[in-house]
Amino acid sequence: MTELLRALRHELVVQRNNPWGLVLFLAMAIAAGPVTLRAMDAWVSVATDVVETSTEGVDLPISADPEVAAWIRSGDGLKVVDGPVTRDDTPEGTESFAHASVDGQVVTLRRPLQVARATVVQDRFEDVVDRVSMERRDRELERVGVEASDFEIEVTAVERDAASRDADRAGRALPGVVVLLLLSVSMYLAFDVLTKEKEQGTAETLLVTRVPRRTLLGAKFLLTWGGTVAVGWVWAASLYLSQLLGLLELEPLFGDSHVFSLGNSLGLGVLVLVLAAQVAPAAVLVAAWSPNYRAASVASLPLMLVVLAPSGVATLPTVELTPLLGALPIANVSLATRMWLTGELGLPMAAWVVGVTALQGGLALGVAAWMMERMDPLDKGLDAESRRAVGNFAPDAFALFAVTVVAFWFLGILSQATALVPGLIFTQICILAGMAGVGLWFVGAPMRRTMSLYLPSTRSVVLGVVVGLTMQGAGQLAVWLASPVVPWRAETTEGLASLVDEPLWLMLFAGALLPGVCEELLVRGALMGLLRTRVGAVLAVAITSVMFGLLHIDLARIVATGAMGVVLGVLLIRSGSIVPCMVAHFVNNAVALTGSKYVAEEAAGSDVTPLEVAVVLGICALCVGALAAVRPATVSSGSGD
Amino acid sequence: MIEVSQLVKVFPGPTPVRAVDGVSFEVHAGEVVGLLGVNGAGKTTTLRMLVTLLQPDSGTARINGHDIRSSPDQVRGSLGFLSVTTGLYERLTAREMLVSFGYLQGVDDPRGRAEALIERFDITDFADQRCGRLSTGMKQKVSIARSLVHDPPVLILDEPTVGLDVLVSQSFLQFVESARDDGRAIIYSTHMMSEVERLCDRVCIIHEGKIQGDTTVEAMMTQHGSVERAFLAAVGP
Repeated sequence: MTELLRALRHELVVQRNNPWGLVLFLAMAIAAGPVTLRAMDAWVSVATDVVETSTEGVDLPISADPEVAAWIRSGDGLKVVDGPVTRDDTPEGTESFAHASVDGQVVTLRRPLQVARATVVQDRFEDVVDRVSMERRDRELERVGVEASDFEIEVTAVERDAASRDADRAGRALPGVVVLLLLSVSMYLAFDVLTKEKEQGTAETLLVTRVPRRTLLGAKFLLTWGGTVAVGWVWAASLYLSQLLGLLELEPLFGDSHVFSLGNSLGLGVLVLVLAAQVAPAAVLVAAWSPNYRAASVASLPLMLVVLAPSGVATLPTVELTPLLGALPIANVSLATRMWLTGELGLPMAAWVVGVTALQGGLALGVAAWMMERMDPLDKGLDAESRRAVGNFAPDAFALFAVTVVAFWFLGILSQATALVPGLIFTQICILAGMAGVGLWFVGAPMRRTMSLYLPSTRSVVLGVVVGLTMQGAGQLAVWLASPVVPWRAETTEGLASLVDEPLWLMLFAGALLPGVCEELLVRGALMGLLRTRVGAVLAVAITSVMFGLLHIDLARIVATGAMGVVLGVLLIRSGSIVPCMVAHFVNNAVALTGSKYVAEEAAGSDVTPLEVAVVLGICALCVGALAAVRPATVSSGSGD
Repeated sequence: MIEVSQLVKVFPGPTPVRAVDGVSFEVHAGEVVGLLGVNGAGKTTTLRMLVTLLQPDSGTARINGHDIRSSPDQVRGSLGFLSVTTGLYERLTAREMLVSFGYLQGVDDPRGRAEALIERFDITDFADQRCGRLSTGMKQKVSIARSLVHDPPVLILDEPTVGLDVLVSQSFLQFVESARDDGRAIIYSTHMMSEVERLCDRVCIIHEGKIQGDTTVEAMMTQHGSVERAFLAAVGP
């Protein structure tokens, strides 16, 4: 025990002399308080309250044929009148029908009474039609001997009052912010006390003292956990104070419900304790495993994904905390927080979450201690120079892919949602091509050789054009073949629909040229180049095709883009240069976009006839044959490999 | 004080390397034993097993009566280890470094001990500067003081004078002599034959993981004229 305290004292002294990192995180925690409030406010203010309207409980006039009029019953809110319904049946004036929040202001929505009545009559009549058709269905079913009750769906609704509903919504927004904050602190501290020591040779100095390694690790964990908790508590205090001091103008809907009373804010302190007990062991484990900073930074990105993903679970409205989900770290605390804010968290569930957390944290620390016992502080992993000689960059490919996906999904899609064309250009140049370049530079892989940035032969460029022309057809075929499994969805192509409205040159630049160059640089260039240092060509093509498909997000397009990835991957290997792939990708996109721009729209997504399938299959066979005919990589430039 | 018996360490790989292959020797209190060998001979691996940074595959050693396998904590508590790879915390001042390691080693009065060492090794002038800003010689002084903070009966020094200028090396050699005169058992691994001639009572020559010779410096001098010639005779082609 005294040895643990002495080791902890040592860690504190080392941290004391470098306060700026922790000061930075404390500042972030202070700033994160109002940010969390704002995020929760945004969630809460999605609410629209329906107001009781003047048509409530009034039978509205409708004119109908006798056959149809017979459908209408007394409770339907409709009365059949002879002759047409006139303006005179509805008085002049307006009614308010909803409260909504627009840009932080609560506004009341109003509509003319005549519009209101017309809308309501339509709604009520649709209900009548629904009822009649259901009755007919049931009669038909009865005739063929099927019980109507077989179709009944069980629905359970959770009744919530306004405050509880706001708490529920606030609870969804809360975990994301705090998980990100706590994970960052944990990683910073764990890398500082473990990875940095290996990097600077102090690990060896420390390990030759009489203190056992597991005790040293225990002290390092306590420091990481304690630092994380401290930052988390500052965040909780900042959250409470910024609400108390009225730093933000919050929605009345939210402000009235007092989601963050003093009691609730103190409860957040407990949340932080548990959450830190989950992220700190994970960070310590990764830091204990990493022989150097480079390895740590490569490992930290998948770690962030793994930790952040479960916190997203809590934002889903249908997900509730079950004992099984209670065993999933991060998600369990996120969901428990939400339940606790709405007052639904029972003691057994809270105890289960805490117990599971302790078990998982202990397990992670046990593995970290095992690693620490076997750690050779002189083994700092391979530096960039030796790695280049050994040439295993395959793990870096996965890390690079993970970072790019995160950047693409968040920044890219956000930017495209804000402004499509500038967003597309930004995504292609800064995220896809940028990540490829920065990634290779960061891992120290040779740029030109990895990306196959070599001049192609004329023949392979021509082949690129042919492949590009046929790929569009092949992609359609793939979608069609997959349609029994993955239903074709017309909206999958609508993402780029508005690009078609742009001028031809801009459409081709943003939709064909940039994807052709930038996506190829990333996928066929960086990712495949890195993978090929370790795995064979076939596996590299397969993995990058899946990655290429995943980058395009949509399930239906995964099949098409994955198939396209295979063709482009083979093209790269056969031609030994990335340029034909860029050409093929450009031609493919250009054909698709130009087609949508000028050819009648109804052609898109229509059923494919067997003849068309045969034609496409034939073209594909030609394409593969042409690929096989090209001689494998003969590099004309003087790179010497 | 130090009894090494049949230590073996094999580094696994496509072609496993027997880095240390049955090394045995002894060092008594008040004795400096030089460990000589070409690069890759197994010197550092042997020493790293003695300070329990590496686990031996077979064989063992006793340091101050403690077995390196069964009681590694007591072993580390009774030895001071200094090598080119034992770094200093850049963020800590020399004084903080010594005090903190005093605490870690369980010294009774870490602050008093640190002050004594600061005075003994002429650290006073830069005791409150961060180690990251010290020159190589200053750092070496702090490292020496660090290895002595718990007053260990055994010192294991792995190429301690690498990168030091003549003056600092001289004062370092004086320190080793005085440590020997205090009655410590010292292993001194080096490539500098002149240091061996000056400091060591005995020399173990290690070559390809095996002890090739274990004689007194006097015997080497009488037989070969210099330690260097004796060394070349032992490991040469």
